[in-house]
Amino acid sequence: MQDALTVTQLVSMVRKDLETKYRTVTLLAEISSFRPWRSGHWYFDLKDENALIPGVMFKGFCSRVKFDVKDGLQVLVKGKVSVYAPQSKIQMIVEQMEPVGEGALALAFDQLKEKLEKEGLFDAARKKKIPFLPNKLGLVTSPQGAALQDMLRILKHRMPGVDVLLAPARVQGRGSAEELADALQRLEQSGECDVIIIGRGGGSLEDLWAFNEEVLARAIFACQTPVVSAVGHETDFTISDFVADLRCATPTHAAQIVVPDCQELLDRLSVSKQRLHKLAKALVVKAHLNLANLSKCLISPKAALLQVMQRLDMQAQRLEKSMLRRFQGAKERFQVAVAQLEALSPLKVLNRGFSAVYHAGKLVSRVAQVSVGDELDLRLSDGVAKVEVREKHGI
Amino acid sequence: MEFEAKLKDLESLIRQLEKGDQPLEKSLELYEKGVSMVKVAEKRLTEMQGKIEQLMADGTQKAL
Repeated sequence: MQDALTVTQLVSMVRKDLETKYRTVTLLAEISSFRPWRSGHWYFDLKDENALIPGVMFKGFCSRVKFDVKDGLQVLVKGKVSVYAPQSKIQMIVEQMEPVGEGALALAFDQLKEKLEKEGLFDAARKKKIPFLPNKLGLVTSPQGAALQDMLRILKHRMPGVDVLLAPARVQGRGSAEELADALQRLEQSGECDVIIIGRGGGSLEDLWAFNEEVLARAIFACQTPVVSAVGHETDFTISDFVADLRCATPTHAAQIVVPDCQELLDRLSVSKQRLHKLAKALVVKAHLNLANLSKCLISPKAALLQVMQRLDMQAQRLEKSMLRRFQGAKERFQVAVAQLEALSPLKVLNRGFSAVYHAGKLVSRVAQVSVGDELDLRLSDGVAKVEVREKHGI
Repeated sequence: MEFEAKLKDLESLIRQLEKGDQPLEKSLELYEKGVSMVKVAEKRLTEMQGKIEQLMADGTQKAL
């Protein structure tokens, strides 16, 4: 009985052995169940596929860790193995912790990306066109997040008239991917939105993890409405970014892309309006010119009458002139004829002392035409004398 | 039709008018069409409500 050990003695012995044998251990493990305590100490599990060992890191050492410790991170830790006596729990007392290149999350990301890419979820040909001016815009994000406020501010500034329908969902933590997928489906089922933005503000890789999960990727792919992913992470892409119809680096940027600037459009319309008014004026001027040209070709009846009258006058003058000319010619010809007549007139002969003899009205030119005793008319230049034939004889 | 396409239609109509090779009758027709297109587009931009609502889990909507 005196050889018997107390529990405390046994555990203490085991602890000493372990601490001696595993004084300095370097371990490659994945962090899980990370629990930072208010005391400043960290409690967590270190695990791989088959085994797990609880770990603790005391306050003084924690402050030297320069990265965000999160579940799922692959880390390289240095420390010693010990036993927590009250529970005989083997644990590792960690003094140094470094992240390991690409952790388990990164590996999962690559694997999922490859799988979905092979299935065609990222095909450019499957991407839907984002409408130029949506009537109603769907948002899937946290109602408490700054991302929502940023987007609403931009929307109000650029296109105050656009309707917004928010489907609230948690954007990080366990189950958030399912919540996001569900919110997206509800928006899709409402059938009211022309385009949907799904996103959140910036954060660490782990914060954004929901956007790297398969359930959300498939929900985005199934959505008939165009989806814009807007996960605040400038450099890295999430799986959601690859599946979405359009990827924006931040929610603010997404809001700017999805609605056009209202003022810009109104300005453009106003320019069009001015051009139209200018054209209208030009049309009126052109119409007036046409009218003026046409009226030049038209003559009023009065003017036409005047022209006819003028023509008549001219004709009358010509007629008068030609008549005068003809009259003048006739007059001249008459005078010539008169002169000729005068020259030939027997009266002229009578004037020179000759006379014409008529018997019973007939001109007598030979002796045989008269008998003795006939009464003859002797025509002289100024009158007639009656004579009687007393004798006749030839010459 | 998409708003943007309408805007482009309007602007090409104006360019056509500005060429000035249309008969007066046709020009007036185009002008009237252009003016009504501007009106429709302005209405579309200025008469939107800007409602902001939240889609609840049961499918109902309430103001945010």
